[in-house]
Order: sequence, then structure tokens, then C-alpha cells
Amino acid sequence: MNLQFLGHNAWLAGTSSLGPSLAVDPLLLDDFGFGPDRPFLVHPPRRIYRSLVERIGAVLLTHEHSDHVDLASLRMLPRETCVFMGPLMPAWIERAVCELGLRVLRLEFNTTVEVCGLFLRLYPCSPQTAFWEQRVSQFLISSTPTFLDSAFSAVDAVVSDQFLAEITAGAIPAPSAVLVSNNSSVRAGKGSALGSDSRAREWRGHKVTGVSILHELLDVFPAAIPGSPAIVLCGGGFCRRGELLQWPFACQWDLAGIATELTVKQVFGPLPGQRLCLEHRGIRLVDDDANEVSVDQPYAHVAGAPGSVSKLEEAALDSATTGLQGSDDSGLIARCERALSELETAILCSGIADYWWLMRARGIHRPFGFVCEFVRRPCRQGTRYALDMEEAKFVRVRSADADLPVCELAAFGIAVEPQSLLDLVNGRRQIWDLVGDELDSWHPDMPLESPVALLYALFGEQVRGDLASALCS
Amino acid sequence: MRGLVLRNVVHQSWLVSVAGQDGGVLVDPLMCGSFGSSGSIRFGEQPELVLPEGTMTGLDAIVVTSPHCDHLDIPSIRRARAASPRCPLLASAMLPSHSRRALAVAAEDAIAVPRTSFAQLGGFKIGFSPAEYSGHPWERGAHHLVVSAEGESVLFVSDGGPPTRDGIQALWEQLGKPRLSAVLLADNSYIRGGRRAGLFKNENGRGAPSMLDCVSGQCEMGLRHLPNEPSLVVLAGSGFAAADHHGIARFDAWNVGALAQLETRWPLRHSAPGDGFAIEAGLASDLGPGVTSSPLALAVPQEDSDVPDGTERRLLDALRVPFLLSGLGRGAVFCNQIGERRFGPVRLAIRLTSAYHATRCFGLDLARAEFVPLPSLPAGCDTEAYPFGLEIPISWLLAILKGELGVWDASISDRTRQWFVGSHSPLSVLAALMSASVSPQGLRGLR
Repeated sequence: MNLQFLGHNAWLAGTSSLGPSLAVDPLLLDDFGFGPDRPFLVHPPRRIYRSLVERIGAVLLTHEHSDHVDLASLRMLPRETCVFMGPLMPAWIERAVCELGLRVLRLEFNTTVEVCGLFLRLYPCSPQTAFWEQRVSQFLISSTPTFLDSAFSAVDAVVSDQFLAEITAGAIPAPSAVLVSNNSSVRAGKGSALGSDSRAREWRGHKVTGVSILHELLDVFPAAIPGSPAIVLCGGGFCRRGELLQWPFACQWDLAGIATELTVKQVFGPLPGQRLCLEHRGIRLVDDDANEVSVDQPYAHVAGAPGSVSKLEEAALDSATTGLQGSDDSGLIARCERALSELETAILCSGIADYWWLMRARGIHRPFGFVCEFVRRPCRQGTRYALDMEEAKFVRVRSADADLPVCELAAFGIAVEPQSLLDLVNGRRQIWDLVGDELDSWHPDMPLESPVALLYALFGEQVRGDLASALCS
Repeated sequence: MRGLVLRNVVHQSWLVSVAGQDGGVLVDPLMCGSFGSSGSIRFGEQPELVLPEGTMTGLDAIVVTSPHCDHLDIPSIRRARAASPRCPLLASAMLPSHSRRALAVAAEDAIAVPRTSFAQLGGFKIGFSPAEYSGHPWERGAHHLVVSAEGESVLFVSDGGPPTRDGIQALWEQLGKPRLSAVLLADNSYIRGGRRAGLFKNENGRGAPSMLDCVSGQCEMGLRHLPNEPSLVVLAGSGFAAADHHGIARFDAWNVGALAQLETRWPLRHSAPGDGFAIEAGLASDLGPGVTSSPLALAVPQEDSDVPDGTERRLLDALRVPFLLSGLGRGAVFCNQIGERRFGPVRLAIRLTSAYHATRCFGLDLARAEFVPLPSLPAGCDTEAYPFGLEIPISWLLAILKGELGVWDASISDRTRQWFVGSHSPLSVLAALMSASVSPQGLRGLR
């Protein structure tokens, strides 16, 4: 079996380097993202040629996120191309794919299908997976019906319990390779998207290091998988449009090189176009002998950037904010207040509220459960609204509290440009389009209950397919 | 030292007094023959609670431990204060603001006891300690109570899980480290006819706990972090019944029989209304029934009314996001299969019954993230077809979302059926959504 890397989490799987193949989560263009702006660029930049696209005989879409479903890429495929998806893929994606003239086939979990000469089996991810990744279909793929010399991908989720159970029961052999998505997505100095903003110094968490990322990818993540499968690093292969800095620790080829020096494991970090050949005698990484993918020089577009990291970071932190004060747009205030009222019930039912009430019972709570600071560049002071947990509603923070460090008002909060929040609530943009640049957040050390996680749960594709669908159309 | 007398008034309402003395501390008074928060739908017959003359005169204090309707009953508080007009009303200062406001209606001079302090009234010291799960939507503001006098002390383990280790230690230090003589343990297992009742009744039988499971679970949870082993542990909190069209069903009837067969290291007793216990020098003895009272009947809605066209859609739209984001919604994503039975994208079925038109069925389709119409299945078949389900009169569901009917009240009726796997039931999702800390506007619509 050949597994050709197309960038980020996209793969082309086939029995030969030239025959019809199964494309997994194909990103075939330079950019992607829901909405007309297509806000993300594939990194390292690469070009995929028509000859490769013509070899795509079928497609597997693992889940609904914009870095896995790119309708513009799917539009390049011939009509009637078969697109496989799992049982809980949002229905609006099925409709959108059908409207492209492609044929959708829903697959059951734990059932084997034959496609493009390969054998494919989907698994539900572990219930330990974060909310927004719970619909991921993990896959096992092999050129043999008994799944010898197979590759398994957990995609962006925790390894499937059912997959592990099948190995333990002897129903399938352990995989030869595991595709590990490196979604550390750590931006310089900012913590991860789910991390806590530097304003909440007490919860900034541990500094992320390359070694800790490698430990996570090589040891922790695949720990439950029996045998000694080769680790294939992928994921994290994108950056925002207009962004000068590449996210650290997302260069899988460098990480793989370091890992090979540090461990005895077999670790690969392919560049786009490179192929993994899974054979009975082992796994080889070979270059694209058909010249179907060309890669620009990694980092070419960020030359000289490392020296300016600290200045850029500083500029980002200083980019706050007049908020709504002084604004002559009273309509904006009213719209923002309405937007906040839409968040109330979700926050009050969430772990964020549990945390406040628990701290209250212990007498160590902060005045509010959640703060939203509306910020506008370039001044510092924003307008603050806070969720009064006992009254169960957002209130404007009194001027007496306006000068307090915002993290002293509430353990959870966001600082966001007013229009950005309105865009999110109204479905004009997605949370991942905002985090880090236009929306900062802080929270105690419980990332899965972070404000970003909550906003994504509330407005993401799983719950508000209507917003995502409208954004794509 | 004269010792203490504990007398169960009914359900979780207790009178703590010093042996041989009048007065005492009345905890969570329930004195009006019924409790429950719903007022808009006609109730069934309710037996009156009969208390002997003079029982409630000369009280030293009335104490409210929790915002729940079976602890904070305004009509009962008014009645108790009428009998003891100068008796102070105490509650934890950590009671949520909506409950404090409700208390203020009943008694403007209600005293809030700070969490780091205690009140001393007559010979009694009264303090509160936080519950471990006080972050949970239903339990926000619930506190445990300690009443101490004559060198003895009684811990009322309220709803909301066990006391916290730090909380109970700090309170005990403040109270002068009295001997813990008795623990009154809220038994909210509500076994009814061998099945759990209320928010966690389960039509498909999965997860229905045995009495042994319930009691040992209660002890396991509630008796952690105690300063010393008590000589008496009383299961309280099932001393009421459901009055519905099938008559009166006592929740504790089955418990009592099962309790006699239990073997446990704890000195467990069950209490019926009127039962008493004497505590002296750390030793407990039964006093037997000393108060004549009927079991308290929970008012259960009896009838439903017609609803306007389009109500189903509005109700289901309101429930869509809360269900998807809840623990049930998250669990349903992984409920692809039970045994050999695979489930499609519809994992939650809702059957809306009505006396006025045919039953209508809807399903929460996880791929569409919305409710879709379902073919009507005979009652019982749907528990096999869908892993989660709820059957409820549509007028009751409407009343719940309008804050006119408590979820818990509706759950007791046989007309409300549900089934689920795991630990999140459809009714528990509704209860969290309509809890006072999430929907205080709903509380205003309740009695």
C-alpha cells in the first residue's frame, strides 16, 4: 500500500503509485476554510497537479471541520465520484457534497468496505475525545482483507476503544503504522488556541516545549496501541492567511528527524508529495516519482521572521482597546448585548458555571462567573460585561470595577472585538478564525471547559450546522 | 448533660431538641401536607399532615439548608413561624440569591449564617458546610448542616454529595470539636416498586440500582470525611409518597423491607414520619413514633390541557441546543451500538402525548442536529429502537419550559416515562436546564 502525503491531514492511499486511489480529507488547493475568505493556507506551501487529482477514485471525509472538508477541492473531482463518510457526519455536508454531483455513501462503524483495491474500516473515536472532535471517524486501511501491513489514523481524536478491542480480541492485527495528527498548534508566545491568555498569569500553564510535544505524539498518544507501529507525523500543516509566523512544532519533518535521534522508534514526518510504502518487509519513505506535487521551500515566506517574534507578540498584547466606550454606534452596543444574552444559558449549564458555584461554596470565588471584555484597537481599556451567576444574566461591569485586572473579576473570560463576536454569533465567521488574533481567552487549568471550547460547542458545526452551511454557501 | 432528641417531622424535616426541654431547632420545615413547586396544573388528593398541638411552639430556631422545594417550603415556614413568632429563621449565607429573596418574603428578618461562622441560639450552635458537588446545576447552594448542643452534634447530610474534607474540618474546629453523634443521610434513591423513581427512573431497566446499591452508595458518599464514627446513621428523605391517579405510593415502603436485610458496618436506621431517636453520651436509642402524622404526599399533576398548533416545534427548538450540549447529547454521539443492535443518527426519541390528539413522536437526529418527525411506535417498542427517550404529555412539557411545573414533580407521575443508557437521563437534562441557577425566571412561575 502507498500512502502519499498531500499536506496537513490529507492523504492519498492506493495499491500503486499511479493507480486509482482513495483520497482522505483532501485539501487540493493552496488554501482552505469555510467562508469566502478561505482564511487558512496549507503549510508548507505546495502545489498539487491535475495528474494527481485525476487519480482520485474515491474520497473519505473523516469529519466536518474545515481543514478536513474542502468543498472547493471536492469540486475538482469528476461527477459521481464516491465520497465515504461516517454515520454522524453532519447532514449539511452530505447535502453540499451531493450538490457537487458526487455520490455520498455513509459507512457503518466496524464494517469493512473495499475501495480502490484497498480495505477500509471506520471506527468511532474514544468517548474521551473533546466535544468538537467527537464525530471523527477513525480509519484503518490496508491492501489486504485481513488488514496486514495496515495504517491506522485516529485523525484529531483519541484512539478508538473499539479499534483497540478488536486488536485485543485478535479480530485484526496491530497496525504497521499510525498516522498521528500533531495539532499542538502552538503559536509563538500565545499558548495554544485552548490555552489561557497571558493576562491570567496564574493559569498560563506550563511552557510547551518540543520535547513535551514529541513525548505526547510518540509515547502518550499511541501508548494504547499494541505492537510497535511506525509513527507518522502529520497535521498542523497550515497557517492563517497574512500570518508571518509559522506555528512552532508544526514542522513534522523536523520533529521526525529529532525523534529519530532521540528514540528507537521508527518515526516519519513526510513532506507533501512524499509516499510511505507499507510492505511486508517494512515501511519506506520515498519521494513523489510522478512529480504530482511540488513543494515550495518551507519557511520561504517567513524569512527573517524569527527575529521579530517578540516584537510581534508585544504588539499583539498591546493591541487592546477602547471597547464600546466612546463608540457612537449605540446599535452595536445593543447587538453585542443581545449576542451575550444568547450565551447565558449555555454558560450557566456548562462546567464554567459548575466551577463558579463550587468555588463559591468554598468561599474562594470571584465576583462573576464569566467576563466578556469588548476591545477595540489601539487603546487599552475595554468595556466589560460580566455574567452574574446568581442572577443568571450578563450585566455591564460597574465603573468601580472597571480598573481591576479583568482576570480578578472572573476565572473565565474572553477579550474580543465587538464585531468579531457578532460575526461568530451570526455565523459569518468561525471561532478558529478569531482565536489568538481577535479573541483572547483565559480560564483555569481545564482546557476542555475553556471559553473557546464553549463557543465552539455552541456555534460549531455539530450544533449549528445551519451557520456552517450558510458560511460555505 | 441531658442529651439530644431527634424527631423526624416528615421527609427531610427534623426537630432537634434537648432531652426534657421544650423548643429546639426545626430543620427544613414541611408542615402543609404537600410540597412541590407546581401550581398551574390540577393536583390529586393530598392527605393532610397531622401534627399534635404544641409541637412547634417555642422553637429556638428554624433552619433552611437547601434551595430545593422539599427543603425550602414557604407555606411551611410561615406556618412554623406563626406557631413560634419570635423564633429566628436561619439559612446559609451561601444560599443563592433567588432563595434568599424567597425566604425574605416569608420572613424579612431571616438571618444569613456566613460560611466561616456559626450561629448560637439558646443552647444550640448551628453552622453550615459546603457540599462536594455544589457546582452541579441542581445542587448549587445546597449545604450540609450541623446542629450542636449538650456536647453532642448532628450532621444533616443534605443533597449535593458528601461534605468536603476542608469544609467539615473547619466547621468542627469552630464548633469546639463536639462529638459527632448522629448523621441524617438524605436518601434520594427513591426506589418505587423495585425501580428507581424520579429523574432517574429508566424504562429499559438498565442501571436500575438495587436497594443495596442505593444505600451503600449513599453511605459511601455521604459518610466520608467525618470527624468520628457516629453511633447513629438515619436514612431520611424518602418519607413521602406520590399521589397520582393510581393512589398513594410510598417511596420508602420498599426501602424499609430491604433495609432490614442489609448488612453494613454503619449503624443504619430508617425513619418514618414521627420516629424519634435519643442521643446521650454518644449512644443512640430508638424512641419510636412520638408524633402522629400521615406520609407526606407529593402533588403530581393529573390532567393535561390542549396546546396551540405549532407548540411541538417551538418546544423542540427550545430543547435542541441544551440537549445537544448536555452530557446526554455528548454520550449519545458514542451510542452507536448496544450489543448487536446498531443505532442510526436518531438517538433520542420524544413522544408527546395528549388527551386531545394522537401521540406525536420526534427524534433528535445527531447528523442534522435537530428534531425530526418519527413514525409512531407502540409504547415500549421505542425503548429498543432508540437508546434515549422521553414520553411526556405535551402540555406538561410546555408548562415545564414556562416555569409552571417542576421537572421533578412531573417525573414522579407514571405518565412521564423515559429510558436512557449511562448516567444522563432526559429528565435530568430538563432538570438542569430549568434549575433555579440556570433559569431563575422559571422559578418565579412556580409556587
